[in-house]
Amino acid sequence: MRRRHELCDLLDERRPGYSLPQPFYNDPDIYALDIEGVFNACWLMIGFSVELPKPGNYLAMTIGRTPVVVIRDRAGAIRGFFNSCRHRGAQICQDGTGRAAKLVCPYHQWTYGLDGRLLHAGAMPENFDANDHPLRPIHVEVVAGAIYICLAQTPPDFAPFRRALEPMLAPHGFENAKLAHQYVLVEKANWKLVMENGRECYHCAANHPELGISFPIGISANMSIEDDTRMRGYCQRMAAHGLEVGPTDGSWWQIARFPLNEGMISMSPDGAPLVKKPMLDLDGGDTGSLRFSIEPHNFCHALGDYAFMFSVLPVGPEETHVVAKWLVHEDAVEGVDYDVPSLINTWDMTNRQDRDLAENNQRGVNGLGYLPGPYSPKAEGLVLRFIDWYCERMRAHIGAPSARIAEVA
Amino acid sequence: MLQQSAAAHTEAGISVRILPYDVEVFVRPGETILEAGLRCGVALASSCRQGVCGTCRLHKLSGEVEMHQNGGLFEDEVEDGDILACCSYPLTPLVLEWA
Ligand code: FES
Ligand SMILES: [Fe+2]
Repeated sequence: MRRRHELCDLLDERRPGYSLPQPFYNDPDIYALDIEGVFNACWLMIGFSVELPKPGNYLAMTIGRTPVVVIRDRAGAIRGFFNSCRHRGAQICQDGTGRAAKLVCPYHQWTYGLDGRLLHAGAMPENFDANDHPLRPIHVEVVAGAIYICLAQTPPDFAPFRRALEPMLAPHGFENAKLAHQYVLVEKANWKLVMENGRECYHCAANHPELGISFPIGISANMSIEDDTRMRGYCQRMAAHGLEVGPTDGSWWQIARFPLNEGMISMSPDGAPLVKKPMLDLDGGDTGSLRFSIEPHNFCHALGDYAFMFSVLPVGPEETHVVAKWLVHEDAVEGVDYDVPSLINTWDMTNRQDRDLAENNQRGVNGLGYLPGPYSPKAEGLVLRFIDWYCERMRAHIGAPSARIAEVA
Repeated sequence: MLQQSAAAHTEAGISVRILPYDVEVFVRPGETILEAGLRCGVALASSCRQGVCGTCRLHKLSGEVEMHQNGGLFEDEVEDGDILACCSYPLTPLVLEWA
């Protein structure tokens, strides 16, 4: 396949420590390979178990070109399926949220149980066996209320990530939370530019003055604070509460608890908590943030009073959806304990500023004048890590034995 | 009210009004609401006709039905007044809504 050879050459061409050659940011063939090699292959973070409170509640979305649906079954377990009917392939649930006692294809009403079994298919011949046509499952893992999916037949090992995240996230009570707000931000930029931007705070001091009030935007390789004395004090305080600080990581995930700026309790316009009923009721919500993120596409912050999720879903070579969600304690009453405009203010402003930065980056990268440039090891360590991870992943994808056999044949 | 429902129990069957079309059909004994609706030319969607697929779902604004569904609706949806026309028989005059 021609585009595989070209991708291989381009990967070889990339200079270590530098941003990617231009085609990685705008070429439709490489985009298609990104979907195959990354989004069809990796674990993705799509939301929270509390978004599916009752049996039949579902969350449907398109990953690359693949519609999937994640649903709570009658026994209460969260399952996922490819959202394509086994009859002639029509999409079953429209993207978004809803509730269904059965999954019914809108085309010819083939009807599936919430376990994926085909229960009704009209006008099929006697020898048609419904058991041969269940919905095809996808992998789903729920960690302390956070939902991860993987479209691959054989997903990357999830166990180490679960082992690390579960004890650190569990105290935040995501299972006793509710979705306070969500939206999708459309960004005219390649998904990798959106992610590169999200993996560094080199740009923060100039571009995110609001976030900078609470968020430690100092130049550091991994968004941690550099004041050792403060960090030691924070670690001791967290340890006293039995809260692990980390940092801990694997090749495709990172988890760390870190303190906010001096005197700041939440990521808010003035550092004060935004929700009267905290999710983590310790030290008046002053527990910093638990940041957990996965390559290729996500980070979350779990604060004392709310949690924020940021996941990107690519929709084209130069278009990306940013899915943003805010969680608060389930007993927090809107208009009494919190209000949405204040709750989302800091991250909403940050998201929109970041969108402008990514779109501006895309325009410059598309130009004749673009040449890959060097990342700052000091300030862009996580970007470098993301891009190195991406290059490795794509090498593994195109170097798969089946592809080599195909080439020889 | 009593008088009205008595009038609605004619030999032609039990009165079922379906909004927003505002048509009235008389469901004969042994007939489902879906069968009666189709007999009278009301545009009702259906597929499995055995209470599984939920395609024939209607919302009940008033009245009582006997329903033999097969999982097409959750119990709480039934409590909220949803019915499946293919497997529901009116016990009293009904006002239904196609939503
Ligand atoms: S037609 Fe399938 S439930 Fe009524
Ligand atoms: Fe930013």
